[in-house]
This record gives sequence, structure tokens and C-alpha cells, in this order.
Amino acid sequence: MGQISGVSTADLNNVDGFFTTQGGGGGTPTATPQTASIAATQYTNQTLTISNTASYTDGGVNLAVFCEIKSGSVLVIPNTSMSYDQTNGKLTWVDEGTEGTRTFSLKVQDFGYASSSQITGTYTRGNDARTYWRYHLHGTGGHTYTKDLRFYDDVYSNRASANEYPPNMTANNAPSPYVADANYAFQGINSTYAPFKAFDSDANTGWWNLGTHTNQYNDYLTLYVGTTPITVLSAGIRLNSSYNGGSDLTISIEGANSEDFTQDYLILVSSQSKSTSTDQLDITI
Amino acid sequence: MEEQCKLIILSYADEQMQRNAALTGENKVWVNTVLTLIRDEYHNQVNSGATEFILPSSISNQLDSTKPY
Repeated sequence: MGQISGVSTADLNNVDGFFTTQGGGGGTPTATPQTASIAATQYTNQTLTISNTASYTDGGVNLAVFCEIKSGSVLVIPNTSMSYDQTNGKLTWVDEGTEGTRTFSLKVQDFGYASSSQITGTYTRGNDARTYWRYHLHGTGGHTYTKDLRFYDDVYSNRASANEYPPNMTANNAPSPYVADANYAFQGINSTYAPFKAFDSDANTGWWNLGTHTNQYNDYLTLYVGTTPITVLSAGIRLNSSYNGGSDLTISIEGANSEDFTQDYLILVSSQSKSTSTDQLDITI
Repeated sequence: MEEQCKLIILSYADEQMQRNAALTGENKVWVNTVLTLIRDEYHNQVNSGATEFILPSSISNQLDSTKPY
């Protein structure tokens, strides 16, 4: 049967919606999902949490979730691109599109029940341009010698035609307006292993967080690009083969419009394994 | 100055230790650290016009606190 009342049976969620709205034939509808509205401006990594998972069977571990994101009438994030964590009700997705208003549609179906009613909401997908970009290490055993680091305003595979940031640096504050900084560097941030050494295109130099210090495997290097924010879509990193942060090192790329990373904070890359390269973060060891 | 640098490297990682690191991987990271830190410091001092090689305490403290022997 190709259609039911004009609704294609190719999409079973629509069929469920049909039975639910008709109020018969599909059994008891699943309780409508409750979500906090997405009040804050969202950036690349976006989140929506279903807050009433406790009202579903076994805390919602069997919940089937249908969610999609549109920009106007254009579907930008299909349901198949959504990740749903049944343990906490959190839906996450990656929106690499441009700024604008987004609309989410969400319905769920519990085991043995018909689909819930659909809820919708809107939120703002903000501009990704930032004045501060941060390269953030996360590890538990091993210091990291970062020989080279560059940010690009296109995906990594298109870097040849992209703008790269910064140009070769000759000091932590040169050339202007770029400023490289880090929470720590061996012998100090003006030393042989100063932060800017990761931006000098010299494979024999780099930023090194060697030495015992507080939270020593979770250091970060920050690049200020000046008063005009830039959009970063990818980064390329080359690590020293002997000092690559230990086996469990992961790396994040974050942006913000304030030095303390509290204003317009965004996560471009979230804790990517050093053994994985993507079009957002390429890691060479 | 170069001889001073070599002697300091050997005081932390003698030839036998360096050979074993290369052949078997024993203490490889340590030997690498010795060579990297001291060579980099040597080049820094040469570039700044020094005529005598002096190992800074920041490096000696780091090496002393992590040496495997």
C-alpha cells in the first residue's frame, strides 16, 4: 500500500502521525515530549533535550525519536543525522549551515504505543565568526608537542583554496593583529616552546607543554585574530611523534568573542581522537 | 661550545643509553627529551651570540625530575 489518506507509507513516522491524529486504530499515543525551548543562539554543535523521559517506559530507553531541522522550508538536518542519547534524553546534531532561523519538529514513540503529537519550536543559528579560536587538549598521560597548527575558513580538503589563519608568526604578537597565547608552555610562554611556534611553519619548532603543572594534560593554545571575527571551518595539526599526548589524547577546537571564552562560545570540534582525522580537524603525527 | 653541549647531553644520556634507545626503544622518550631540549637550547644560545653553553635550571630540573635512573 503506497499511501494512507494521501500520506506516503514510505515514511512510517508519518503513518504513525496519521493514526495518532485520527485518535483510533493506532493504540494509545505516546506522551508528548517535553523540551526546554532552545533559547540560546546555537552554533555548529546543537542540542535539544527531552526532559520528560521518566514518563516513558523504562525511562525512555526504548523511545524512538523523530526530529528534523528546517531553515524556512528547506530541510537542513534530517532525522537520520540526529544522535539521540537514551540515557539522558539529549538530541545532538551538527549544523554546518549559515546563520538564520531554524525550526525543529519533534515527536517520539514509546514501545507499544502510537506516535506522540508533534511539537515544534524555533531558535537562532548564529554566525560562526569569532575573534578567538582555541586549540584544546584533553588527555590523562603525556605531554604534547604541537609542531604546526593552522585554522582554515573552509573544510580541510579545500584548504588549498581557503584562507588560512594566522600567517606565519614571528612572535606571540606578530604579525599584528594576531596574538598567540597559551595557559602554559615549558619554560614560559615567551620561551623556545612559545605558543606562536606552532604557527611559524617550521616543522622543527612548536608549542610544548612539557613539565609537571596543574591539569597538565589539558592545556590550550588560543589565537586572537583581531577585532574582525573570522569563520573557521577546519584546522590542521601536526604533532611530534614522541610527544603526542599519550594514547587517549583528544582535541577540541573552540571559538568565542572574548578572551575568557564566555561570550558566544562555540565548539567547532568536540574531543576528536588524535587517531582520527576529519574534514573539520586533520591530525598528523 | 658545541663540546660543552655534547658533554651535557652525555651526562644525561650516555652513548650506551642512546644506542639502546635506538635499538630496543628502551627509555626512548627520555633520550628524545634530552636531545630535543638540550639541542634546542644550544641553538638558542648560539643564535643569541653566547660563547659558553650553560644549561638553564628549567631544563636541568625537568630532566632531573624525570630521569629513569
